[in-house]
Amino acid sequence: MKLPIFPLPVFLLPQGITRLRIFEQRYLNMVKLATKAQGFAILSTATNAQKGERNLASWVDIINFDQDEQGVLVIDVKCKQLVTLSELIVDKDNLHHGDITHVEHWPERMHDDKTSHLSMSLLKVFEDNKLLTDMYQSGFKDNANWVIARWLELLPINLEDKMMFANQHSFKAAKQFVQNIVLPEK
Amino acid sequence: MMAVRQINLSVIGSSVTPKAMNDSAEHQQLSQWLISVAEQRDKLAFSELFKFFAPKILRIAKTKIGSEAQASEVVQETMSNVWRKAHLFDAQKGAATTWVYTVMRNVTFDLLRKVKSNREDTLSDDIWPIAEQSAADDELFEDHLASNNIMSVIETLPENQQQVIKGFYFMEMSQEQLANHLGLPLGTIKSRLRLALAKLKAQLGADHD
Amino acid sequence: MIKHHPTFEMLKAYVTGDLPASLAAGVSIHADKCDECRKQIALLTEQIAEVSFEPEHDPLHFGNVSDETMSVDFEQMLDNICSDDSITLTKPTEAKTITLRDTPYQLPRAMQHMEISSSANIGKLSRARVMLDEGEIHTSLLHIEPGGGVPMHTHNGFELTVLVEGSFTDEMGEYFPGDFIMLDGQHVHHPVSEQGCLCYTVANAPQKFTQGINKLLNPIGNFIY
Repeated sequence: MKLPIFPLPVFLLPQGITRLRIFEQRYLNMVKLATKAQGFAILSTATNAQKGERNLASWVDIINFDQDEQGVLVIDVKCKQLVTLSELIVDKDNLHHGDITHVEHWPERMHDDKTSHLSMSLLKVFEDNKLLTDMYQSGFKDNANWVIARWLELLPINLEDKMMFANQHSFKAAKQFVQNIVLPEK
Repeated sequence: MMAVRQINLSVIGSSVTPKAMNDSAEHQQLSQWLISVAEQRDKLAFSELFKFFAPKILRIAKTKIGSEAQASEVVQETMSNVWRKAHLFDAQKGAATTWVYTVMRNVTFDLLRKVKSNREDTLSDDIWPIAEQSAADDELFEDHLASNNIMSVIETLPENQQQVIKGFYFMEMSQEQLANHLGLPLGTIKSRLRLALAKLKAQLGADHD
Repeated sequence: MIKHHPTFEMLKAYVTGDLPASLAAGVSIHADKCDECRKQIALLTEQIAEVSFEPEHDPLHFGNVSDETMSVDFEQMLDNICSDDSITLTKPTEAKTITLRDTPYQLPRAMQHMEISSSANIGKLSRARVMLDEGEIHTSLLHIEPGGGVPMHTHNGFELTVLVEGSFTDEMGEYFPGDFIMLDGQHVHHPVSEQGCLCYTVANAPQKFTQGINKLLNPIGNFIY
C-alpha cells in the first residue's frame, strides 16, 4: 500500500497526537489529497540516518480538524504505528508516495515505581495544558509505554536525539532518560 | 472579533529553526554575496544581489503601495540599506532572504507612515530592531540546532513539499515551560537535559561494543 | 508569567508590516518579554521572506524588456547606490526614561523615537499621549498609582493594553509585564492596580463607563482614550 509522505521534523511515537496548523491556501489541497484514504506518513528522519532508522515514518490518521478564528485549518493527527518507507514515487504535483512496512515499537511494559511517578507528573502537565487535554480527547492512558512515549515527545531535546527512541529495544534507555530529567535522584 | 479568545501561542512550539533553508545552494550563494559586500565592499557581488532582489522588491512594493514612484523609492532605499548595512547581516542567524525582507519591510513601513500620517519619524528600527534582531535568540535556538541535520535531507525534497513543512507547527515544551512546570530554574533544566543526553549516549556507546 | 499573547493573525500582520505603528509597537513590547512569540515571529519572518522572494512569483526578470520594469532604471539605481562607499554604523542608544507622578520608567525599545506629550492627571491615573498621528487610533502611556484603578467600563472600539511594568487585576484575573490584552465591546472590566503599574494602551474609540454613578464619569473615557 502506498501512502502520501509529508516530511515534517516532528517526533511522534505510536498513539502520539500532534496538532498541525496549515495557513497557506495552496497547501490545503495537498493535505486533502494526502488524507482522503488511509492517512499519511510523516517522514521524520533523514534517509541516511543511523542504521535501523532508515526512512522511518509515523503513519498517522487525522482524528480531528477545525478552523481557528482566523480561518486557519487545524488538524490533529494520531500515530497508529511506525513504518519504514520504500519504493518512493513522485506524482505530478511533486508529492512523494511510498510503500510502507510495519516496524515494531516497544513491547508492552508494566508500571513500576518510577513510571508511576512519571505518570503522575505527566498528568499534571496535561492538566495544566488545555491544548494537550483538547487533543487527547480519548484520554490519558495510565500505562508505562504511553507515559514514557508522551514525555519523550514533549521534552525539549533535538529530533536526532529523540529518534534513538524509535528503536524497538530502547524502552529501558528511554525510561532512564526521562527519569534523569524529570525525577533525578536526590 | 480580534481578541474574543486569544490563541495561546506559547504552547505551539516549533523546532523548525529560521536557519532551515541555509543549506540550499541559492541561500548559500545569497549569503556569500552579502558577506562579500560586508567584508570587501564587493560591487560585483552587490550587483548580483541587486539583480536577484530589486525586481522582486519592486513588485512587492507596487502591490503594497500602488504608486510606481514610491515603489521605486522602496527599492532604492532597501538596496542602499543592504549596501550600507551588510556588515549587520549574520549568516549564522538566518537566511539572506530573511534579512533583506526585514530591511524592505522596515523601509516600506517608514515610507507608508510618512504618506499616511505625515510623520517623518523613523520608528521601524525600534519596532523591529535589525541589528540585534536575533542576538537575544541565540539561547533559544541553540538546543534545536541539531535538527538542521534532518533539514539538510529535506532540502533535497521538491520545493512544494518543503513549503508544506514550513506551513506546519507542532508542539513540544520549551525549556522555559519545562522549568516552570517542574518548578526549577532554567539553568538546572538545561544542565539536566545535557547530562541526561550525555549519559544516554555513553550508555548506547557501551551497548554497541 | 505572561498569559496573554497576540493572535496568530496579528503576529503575521506584525511581521509583514501591515499593522499601524501603535499596534506594531504593542506587539514589539510584548515580544521583548515573551520568548515564545519571539520565536514565532522569527519563524514567520523566515517563512514569509521565503515566499516573498520565491522565483515562481517573479515573472519579471532583471534585464527583460517588460512594460513594468521599463519605467525604473535599475542600472542607474545600482550605480547610484554603489557610488557611496560609506557604511551605516548603528550605535547603541541610551534608553530614554519617562517620569509619571514621580515614578520613573524606562521606555520600551519600540518607543525610543516616539514623541510623547507631557502628562495629565485625574485621581490616581496619569496619562501621557504618544503622538503617532494615526487618526482615530490613540496611543497613550497610562500610569496607575498604587491602589488606583479604572472604573467599570466597556469599549466602543478595541482597546489594547500591554502591561509594561507592575501588575493589575480585573474580573478576568491578574496581569503581568508583557501581557498583551486586546479587548472590545464584548468585555466589561474594572482594572485595579494594588502596587501601581505602567501600561501602553491603544484604543480607537473612547471607553464607555457602564455602572451607576460611573456613567457620570464618561469624560474619563475621553481622558483615557
